[in-house]
Amino acid sequence: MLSANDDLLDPQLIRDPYPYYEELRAHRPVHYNERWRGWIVARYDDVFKGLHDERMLADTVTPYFQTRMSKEEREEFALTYEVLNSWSVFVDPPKHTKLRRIFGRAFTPKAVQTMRAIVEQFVDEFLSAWEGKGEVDMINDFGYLMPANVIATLIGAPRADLDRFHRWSHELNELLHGGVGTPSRMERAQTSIIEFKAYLQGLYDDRIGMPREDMMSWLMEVQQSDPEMTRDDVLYSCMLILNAGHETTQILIGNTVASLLAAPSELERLRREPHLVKSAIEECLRFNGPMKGTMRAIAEDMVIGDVPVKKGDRVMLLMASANRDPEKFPDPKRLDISRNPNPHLAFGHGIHFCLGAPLARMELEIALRELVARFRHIELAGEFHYENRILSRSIAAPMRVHVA
Amino acid sequence: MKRRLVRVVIDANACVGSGMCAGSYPDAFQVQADGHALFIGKIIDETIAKDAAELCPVSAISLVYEDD
Repeated sequence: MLSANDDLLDPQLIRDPYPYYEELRAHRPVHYNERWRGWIVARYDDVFKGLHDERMLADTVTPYFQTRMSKEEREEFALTYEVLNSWSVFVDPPKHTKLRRIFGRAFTPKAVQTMRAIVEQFVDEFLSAWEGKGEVDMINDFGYLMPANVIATLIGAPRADLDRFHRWSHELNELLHGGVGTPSRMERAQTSIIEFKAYLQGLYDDRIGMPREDMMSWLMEVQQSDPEMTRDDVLYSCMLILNAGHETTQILIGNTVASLLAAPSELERLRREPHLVKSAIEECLRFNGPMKGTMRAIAEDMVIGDVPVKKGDRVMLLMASANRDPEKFPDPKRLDISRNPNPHLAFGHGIHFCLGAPLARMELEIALRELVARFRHIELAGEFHYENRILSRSIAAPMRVHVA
Repeated sequence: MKRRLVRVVIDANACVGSGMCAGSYPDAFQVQADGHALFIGKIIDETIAKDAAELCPVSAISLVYEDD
């Protein structure tokens, strides 16, 4: 058993955090981790309530900058702060309500149906390239390419620039997904933000007076009709959409395939009953989703479960643990692709529920459907490992698989 | 035959409490203490109901019509 000094980057926890979560739910559902310096919440009910509690703030960026940085550092990283502080994921009401009202329209289930043809085209392109190959890398040869191309096309970024914004996103995510072991991640995140912003500004300038059929042009139109919105708001929003819109989906693809390969009978069942594809995706989200947890900052003294916490404390709500809580899910360790109901928290819940969930669901649906239809045999061709990150659970490339 | 919107139904199993409906139309929708949205409108405005249904990220809002 681990202690209150649990190292959240312990290789065993990175490999398989679920036994640790089981122990937390049973023995210390809300506890303070001295090493991480915050509260860790493991049971479904507490995580669910936390995601809906307005006293738990999503703006964890401001306290981080205020309490963990010197004045000099705050000045040095002012741009990083400015960008993150504009992202709806790190903003609380009332500002959040307004941002969400603008961006909520971009990815509604109805809006993403108009993107279906784009997704189908890229899924076809990259899976067709697999024909006759035998061995492929699930991450670099598909998991990254498909969602990155889809989101770039939607925003209006040229395909040739894909590798650049992928690199910027990855560097930024070392900061945002809790890759705390990565050296100088603050500096690298800021460098990426500077380059990313300059790049997006180029796309923006190209569209002044010459709008195109893409999301950046649409956001520029919104900006023109809203006196409070600035050019930087448009650029930072595009940065968020490009970032959130590809790496988390890449992670979801890798984790979903990993879950199914580890449960061959369920994969066979999906082949026999392809209509289960949607519930299979929901089950893989529950079973091994992209985000293990999300952070909140406590706005006033309160109680979580039966544990008092103080204003200013930070909290990690473990969705990945909630999703295996036997109080909520019968036989939680079993992957059941027909599980219903499946009220998992993989996309969060409440006002910060993943804005891109409808797009991610559609991308996975098409990808999984085609993967199973085109390849009779899919199996691992070697070991893979997860990135050293506290908040996300992300398979590092390469993830080699045999396909035939 | 004309159809009339008679009810706005929210599927509590699907609702994720994103508040898109309540944030956009606070007179018609409210997120309850249990985290799920409820239709609270005194009158049923079809334009509002349709837009809220479209805005919902999980399509939890459905509209029930009756023939006039």
